[in-house]
Amino acid sequence: MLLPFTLWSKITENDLRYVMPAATAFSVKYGKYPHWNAYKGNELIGICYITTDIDPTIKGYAGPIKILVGLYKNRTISGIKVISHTENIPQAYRITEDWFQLQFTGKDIAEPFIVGKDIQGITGATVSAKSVALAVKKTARIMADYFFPLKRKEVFTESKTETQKFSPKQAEKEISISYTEKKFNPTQYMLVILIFYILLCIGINFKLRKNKKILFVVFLFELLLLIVILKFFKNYKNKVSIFSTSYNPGHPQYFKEKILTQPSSDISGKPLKSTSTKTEEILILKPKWGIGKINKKDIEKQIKSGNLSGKEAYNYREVK
Amino acid sequence: MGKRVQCLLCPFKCILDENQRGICQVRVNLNGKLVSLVYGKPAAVHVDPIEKKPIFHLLPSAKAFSIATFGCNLGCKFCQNWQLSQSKPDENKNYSLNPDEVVRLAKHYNCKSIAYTYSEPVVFYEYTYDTSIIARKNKIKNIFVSAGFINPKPLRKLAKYLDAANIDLKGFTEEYYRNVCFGALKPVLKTLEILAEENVILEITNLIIPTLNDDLKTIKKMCKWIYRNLGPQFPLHFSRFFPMYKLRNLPPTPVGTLINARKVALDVGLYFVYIGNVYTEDGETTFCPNCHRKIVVRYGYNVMKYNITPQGKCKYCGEKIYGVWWKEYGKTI
Repeated sequence: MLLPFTLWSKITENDLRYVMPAATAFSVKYGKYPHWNAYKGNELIGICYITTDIDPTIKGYAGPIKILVGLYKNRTISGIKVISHTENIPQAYRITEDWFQLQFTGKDIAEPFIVGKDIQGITGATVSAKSVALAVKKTARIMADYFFPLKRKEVFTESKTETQKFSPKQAEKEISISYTEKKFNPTQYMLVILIFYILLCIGINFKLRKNKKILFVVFLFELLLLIVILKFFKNYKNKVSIFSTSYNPGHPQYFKEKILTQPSSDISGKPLKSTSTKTEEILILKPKWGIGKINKKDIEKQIKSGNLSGKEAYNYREVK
Repeated sequence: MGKRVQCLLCPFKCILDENQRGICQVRVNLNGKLVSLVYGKPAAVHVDPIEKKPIFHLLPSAKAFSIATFGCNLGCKFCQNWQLSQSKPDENKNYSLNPDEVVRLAKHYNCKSIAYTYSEPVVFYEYTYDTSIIARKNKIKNIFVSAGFINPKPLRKLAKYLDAANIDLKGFTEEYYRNVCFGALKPVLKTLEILAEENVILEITNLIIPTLNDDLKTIKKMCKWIYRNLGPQFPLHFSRFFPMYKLRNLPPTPVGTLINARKVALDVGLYFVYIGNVYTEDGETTFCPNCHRKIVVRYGYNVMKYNITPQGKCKYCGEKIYGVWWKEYGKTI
């Protein structure tokens, strides 16, 4: 059983030369953004750094991946080397192979580091390859902006970056489930409508106070209208209350969810081409627990072989 | 008709027929007994620095031997470890480590603490309980990192053997908890109150997501609740959101909102407020609540300065600081 333990692996000069072979001398690791300076003779040609020192939050499949990256002065990458990783997938070791690491040499920082377009991926280890590309992209851009920043003219004339335009409204459309209902909420206006209605009735009755027969008929009509309005509000409240009740663990067992979908297949199951741009609102009943029964034979086999355990739990009780 | 069983671990209180598994995917009704499929079978084993959990007030710069299994009783849409928490143990390979072997390995790697993290330790409750008893006998600390969705009775049993805990207060409205996390808020507030009473070092994290969790008014309400019901000495962590799992359309949070949230929390009166997942100037330093000087300065997972006496007091003014500190800093790693 291999336990991953790779936090304290040391980096030697051979690693730095593998990453930046054009350099003749390297400095000591130092600085707020820790890095090594690379010199050719007396001239600085670039820097080397480790990605987890700058952004330790990028992770692979099961833990962070440490990568040594070399950056030239003209904002291109000289090479990378994967120092350590903690992946437990069988295909993930191929990150350390030469063909995968040599893809990054000579790349400009402004290119999109996308697996499938720029970079060749690895079957069976998509997450690891993607995280390597992400780490190199992010940290290289940070370091280049700090050490070798562009002048203003260069930015606007030779920019190759892909800028994603983001707006919160666009995100709300793309998100499939609408949980911020900022539309017309009648519960806030119910009181106002009722008070307005009562004042109207009082005004009308005041004007008709002399003819008592007509008053009587109008009064009955107003009462009927009141009852209708109150029932309407009650019904609407019952529909909305599912989204506004306090938590009650015992009941209900199902809850409703609003989903904006586009129908993707016929009733028979054939896939539909997306010709219509309309969306539908569907109320779906989702079972909250009892999500699927187990295959008893499979699980008992796995318990025997040792992949699962069959130990009894401490806190439960029998129920009729 | 076979026997029915009700699990009493978390507020969902699933009632299970024969061969049915609960909402956590890990507890099953087999032949009338409730069985956990995951006792002694972790899926992720790693050695981490303690600042990653994040726990800042227990032995900074120590190592933690962290363990996780598959399964979780919530299903948050922004989960970082969704490959671990939203998959089933019978469709994947597991390691096999008994509680004895866990403690033995932690000693072999010179770790001062064992952390139950990555996925949800509430779901492998029996495993944590047994290892924490053995770890306490061998003078190793226990760290509990979870969302806090658990009933009070099993929590009180566990809290006797815990040394530190980090609990996620993901939001402060019932709607957010129901729609984004598929859980509820009240049980989480109860767990915070219980852990504050026991002898456990409590730290609270809040993940700030743009357009969902962004409102500074609710953040102020949350800080006021913490100040009144728990106390000002419990540290608060505001961490940055990166697009994951089912929320890949949203951007990462801008650093300005985190800084504003930290200002709001400090104005309310909390002593220790931190910012995580980002490099900021003072986001990871602890300031003394009395003399306002920098006591512990951190940069990522490294500790740059450490100015606390072995009795747990500030080096400059002598104020006692909440936490468990080193007696001989520098000799142990």
